[in-house]
This record gives sequence, structure tokens and C-alpha cells, in this order.
Amino acid sequence: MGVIGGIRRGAVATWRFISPTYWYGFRRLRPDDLDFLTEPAGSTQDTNPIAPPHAPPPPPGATESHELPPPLTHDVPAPRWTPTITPVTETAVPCFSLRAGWTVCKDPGLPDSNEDAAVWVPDRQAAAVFDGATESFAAKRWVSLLRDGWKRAGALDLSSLQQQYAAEIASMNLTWAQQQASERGSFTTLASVEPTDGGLAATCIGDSAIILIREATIVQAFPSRDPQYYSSVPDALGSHSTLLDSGQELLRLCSWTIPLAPGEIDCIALVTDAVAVWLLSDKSDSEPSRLTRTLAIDQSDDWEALVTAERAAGHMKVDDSTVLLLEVSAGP
Amino acid sequence: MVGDGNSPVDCQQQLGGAVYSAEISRSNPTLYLFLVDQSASMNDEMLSGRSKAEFVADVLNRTLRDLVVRCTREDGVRNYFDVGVITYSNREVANGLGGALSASWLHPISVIADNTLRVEDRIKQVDDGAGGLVSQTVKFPVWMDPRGYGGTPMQEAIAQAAHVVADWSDAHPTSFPATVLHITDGASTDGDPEHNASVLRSLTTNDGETLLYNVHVSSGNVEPIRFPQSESALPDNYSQLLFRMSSVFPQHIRDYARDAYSIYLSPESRAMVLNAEAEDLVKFVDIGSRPAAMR
Repeated sequence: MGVIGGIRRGAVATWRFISPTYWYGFRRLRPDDLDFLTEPAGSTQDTNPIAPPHAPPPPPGATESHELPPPLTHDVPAPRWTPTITPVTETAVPCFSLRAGWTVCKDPGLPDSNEDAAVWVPDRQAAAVFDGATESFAAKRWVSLLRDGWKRAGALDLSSLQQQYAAEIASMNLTWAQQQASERGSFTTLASVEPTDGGLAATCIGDSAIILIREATIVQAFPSRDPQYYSSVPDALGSHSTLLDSGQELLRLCSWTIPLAPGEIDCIALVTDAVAVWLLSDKSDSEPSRLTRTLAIDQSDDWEALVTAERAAGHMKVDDSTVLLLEVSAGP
Repeated sequence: MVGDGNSPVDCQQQLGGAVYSAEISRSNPTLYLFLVDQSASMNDEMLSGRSKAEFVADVLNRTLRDLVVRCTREDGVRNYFDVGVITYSNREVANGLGGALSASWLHPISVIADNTLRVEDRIKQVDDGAGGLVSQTVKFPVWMDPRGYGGTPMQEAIAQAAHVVADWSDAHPTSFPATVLHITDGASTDGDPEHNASVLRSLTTNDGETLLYNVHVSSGNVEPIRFPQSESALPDNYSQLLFRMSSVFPQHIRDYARDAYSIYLSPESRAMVLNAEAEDLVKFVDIGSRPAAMR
């Protein structure tokens, strides 16, 4: 057939084995999108932090903060994760301070497309990371609302935030495609910590992770220490009012007090999933470890360079990559 | 390595399974190319009473709409996909998209979104939340109207598709490979299309060979043959030809078919349906146009 004979054969000529050649875009932390406050680490350590009420309140009947919630009443699956650190009887409140925070965008040509967010609240010594789902209609908007809500109060008033999101979307002049796409809603994960009596109050929804560290070694990770856990479709907080019940249930099921003995850990890393998998799957015996290299970083450029190299080597998934490091010290 | 185009399963095995894994992004878009038979027989009525041409046009318009909506965010339509429609009828292979879209075989999805022929208001029945249905008006964009005329120059149409895909693959070496969804209702009238289909499938990006999905639309009450695993079990030369022309499914498509429709596809299942009725066509096109991971 003459027509086929005319097809340029370049595309057929050679099988090109996969060789990641992505170019990456970077973005330094900015107050307006990652909302890091810039007090130097330790600036709040002289105060005696009193842990605020942590959201959501303990389930009815719970007498110890590490008790399991009551049985589920509908289709939300069993508790997503549980603390596995040995409970201690200490009641001292640990001190957290911000050590560093870095993020790298997934797409080099689109630095504004970073849908991660992170926040540090010095007066509560509280920190959180959010990972907006790419499939969302307005991931950055939804993440921003939740970040601001969490920053204000700690306890997320999901109903109010969903109403605010809906009002903002309704006020927009949407094309037919945006109108139909908005029906998907928006979704985000959440990992947050703040000090509380005898440990840390943690919320971990979806595949953003809380990693507990001592002497540059991972002590424990939540929601899971198994990197395979992070390959499944994550739970997420949704923007639609139809997801209010399940969102509130997630907040209840995925919030715990993790007991900590004084000195049991000296650092906490809050990370989004690409970083979590990368850190937790580090099997190499070579030194320094991925965690050690992460902890040694003291400027944004170094995090960008590390992420670039690890993506190019196929070690880290190409995704928005955020890490927030907190120093932990014994309370007074 | 050059695929021989005749044995997709073997080809995937030779490639060590490291295929069809590229993430789809704005810097790495993938291609959906629709190849649509508009021969005279497409005017025949399906069991539903509508002509095959009308139903195929509806399915295509709906699929284009879904692709657009899937890429739409608050800040606009993200170009995760390039899209084209090639139609064939009588002795003509033509661009199936009209207006501004007729100037080029392929367009970024945002350009598709901005260039409908018209946007109709259609009524759909939706759940009222209390066990009943209520009517709701929805916007239905139209890019292609139904048409049926003359013969079935399938051989030439597939050759044209191969030209388009070859150019695209050369320009997008790191992208998820092209997907070609071919909708027809009969046999080629300009010669055997098998060789051209083989060449089309052999066009590669770094991530694998072009995927060619074939669906044959029926107007009679004939039992469909869906996703066969073996050529020998097929009843006639035409169905065997369609089998040989069709790719196997990547894993993410098999997962989607299982999760969305409880259709369990094996690694040997070919991407073809013979004697497809309306429901088969809708499912087939939806499964075939399901993208891999987008970021």
C-alpha cells in the first residue's frame, strides 16, 4: 500500500527505553502559599506551650487518649491508622519549634501549580501539611480554605469550610466545562501535629505522613511505615457537602494522641506522599541516608537539588514534594 | 526495538513490562485519535430506533465533553490531551471536526473545548435523592454531526491515522503513547486494512506502542463478541481480522473496566467488540478513553 510506504519511519525506528528526562520546576516557600512563618527555630521555646483543644474531641466514652474510637456505624472503613508507640504515663507537654520547611513543584514550567500547602503556628507550636488532589476542580482554593481554617482554630469546622467553598465557586462565572468539572469537587489530605499532655496530638488523613525521628533515624511513621501503603488511593477531605459526614468521620478516625516519653524523639517530619515514600523506602546501606540528607538541608536550593536528583534517578515520584521539619524537646 | 505489530502481548513482554506507565501531564500530554466510519450503512437503525450514525455522533460528542471536563480546573482547561477525529466515507478520508478545528488533524484539548459547533441544552434524568428521578437541563457540547454516505475506505483512513500518529509520536517521545479508537459498522471497501493497522500499532513513544481499539457497531439483533482472548474461537474472517487489528489493554485500563463495569479483562483480551449495541459502544469508548495517571 503506497500510503503506508510514505509514513515517516522515525517514530517506528528505535525503541527508546525509558529514561526520565523530566525538567523540574521549583518554587521556594512563600508566605502566601505555604504560609510558613519565619520566626527562627526555637523562638517560641521559652514560652510554656499549653496545648489547645485538639480537633476533633475524643469520642464519647474514651477515657484515655490512645483508646480506639467506638465501632463505626456506616460505610466508612475501620480506623485508618493507630499509634503503635508504647504508651507512657508522662504528662509533660513536649516543645515543638520550626526547624525548616521546603517544597518543590511537580511541574517545571508551571511553578504556580504546586497544590501542596504547609503551615506553622508558633503560638500553638502546631504544624500541618496539605496535599491537594490533582483531580480536584479547585485544589488550591480548597487547600487554602482548610489551611486557613486549621491555622485559625486547629479544629476544622468542615461544614462551614464547605459552605464557604461552595459560595466562592457559585460566585464565579463558569464556562460549561467548568460548571460540569466543578461537580467533581476538590480534595486534600492532611497531616498535622501539635503538643499535648504526654505526647503529640496528630491528625493524619490520606497519604501525607507524620514521621517521628530520633538521632536521624526513623522511629515511627503515620499513617504507616510501609511505603506500599502510600500507593493506594488516599482518603481525603472533600469540598462537597455530601462528603460532610464522611469527612467528619475521617477527622475523628484519623486523630490520635501519640504518647511520647521525654527524649523519645528529637524531630518530626511532616511530608506529602512523594517524600514519604522516598524516605520510608530507603533500603540502601550507603551513607548518608535519605533522611540524613534531608535533615542536613538548610536552604531551599539544596532541597530542590536533592529532589531533582532523586526524581532523575527514579527514586522519587514526580509530584509536589513538601517537607516540614520540627525540632522536639522536652517540655518544662 | 520495533514492534512487529502482530503480537501485542509478546511485544509487551519483550519490553519488560515497562510500558504504558508514563504519567500524563501538561508537558507530557497523550493523544486520543478517533477514527469514525461514516459510510452509508451507518444510516441503518439500531435496535433503539436511532441510526448508528446518530448514536455514534452522540457517543463521540459525549466522550469529547468528558475529556474536556476531565482536564478542566478552576483556572481553565489543562492540556493533558491532544485530540483528533478522522472520518471516512465514500472515497474520502476527512477531518471530522469542523470550523476552526478543521485546519489541523490534532488539537490540544483546550482548543477543542473552545471550538464547539454549538452547545445544546439537553434533559437528563437525575436522582432526586428520595428514590425518584427528576429532569435536569445540562449543557451538551456538539463537535460532530451524524453523517452516512458511500463506501468504507477503511484502509486509507487507517493509513491517515498512522501518518498523524507518527508525527505526534515523534514530537512526544516521552508521552504515554497514542490511543486510536476506531468505530465502524462494516468491512473495508478499499482493500485489506490489516497491514496499515499493524503499522499504526507499531508506532511508539518511549512508553509503548500505539493502542488501537476497534468496535464494530451492529444494527441487528446479533449477540456481541466482547474482548475475545483467542482468534480461533471467532466465527468468521471479519471478526478474526478485527482481532488481529486490535491491541491488548494496558493494566490501568483493565483495572478501570473491572472497577467501573465489572468487566474482567485478561492480559490477552483484545480491545475489540463485534456487533456492539448501544450500551457496548458507550462502555467501550469510555474504557478506551480512560487515561493513565494524570498529574
